[in-house]
Amino acid sequence: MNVETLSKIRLFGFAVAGLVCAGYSLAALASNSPDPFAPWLPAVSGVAAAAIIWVSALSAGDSKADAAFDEFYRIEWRKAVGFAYWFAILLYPIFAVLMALGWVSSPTAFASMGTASGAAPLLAFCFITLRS
Amino acid sequence: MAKLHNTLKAHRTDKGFTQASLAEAVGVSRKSINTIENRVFTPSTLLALQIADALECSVHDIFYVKGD
Repeated sequence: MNVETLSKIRLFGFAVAGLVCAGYSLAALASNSPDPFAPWLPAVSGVAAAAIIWVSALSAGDSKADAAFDEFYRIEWRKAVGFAYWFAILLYPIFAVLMALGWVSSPTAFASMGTASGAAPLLAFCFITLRS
Repeated sequence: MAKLHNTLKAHRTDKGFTQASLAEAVGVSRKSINTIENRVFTPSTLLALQIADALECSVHDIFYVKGD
């Protein structure tokens, strides 16, 4: 396995886990239910993505894994996490308003905010990587 | 405002490196080399020195500051 393939596997893993989490968040909001579909799915998709990336890096070897997770990757990941931090903070006033208006219950807000916060760095990283 | 420019592509091709082979020589991804050449990414001092070392020249031959 080469560095490019490992980078693509990482991007794919982040994208799938991010989309599952974002989908769960939106579905929870749309249905006003904390479990719009299997509630274990976001966690399992994240763990599965991490496992696939970890096994891929292990099979590629130390030098190729280091090259795939080089300083450019770390800069892009830092940008994604920076975005996700502010996004997660922004969710609080938004959901406070939704809850104050009685549009969203607190269990739904908990489920939707949690999965949206999880999806944010993963999808932001994919967006930043595909743009660069 | 002063900006960092580089002649990495010219030095790389002069030495017969492709982006992939230079990336392998310095232990980074090909995308890192590509983004340095396109001035999307400013490398760390360590990586700049490793690139210069691989291309057998000084960092100052590859990277320079342009502007005020």
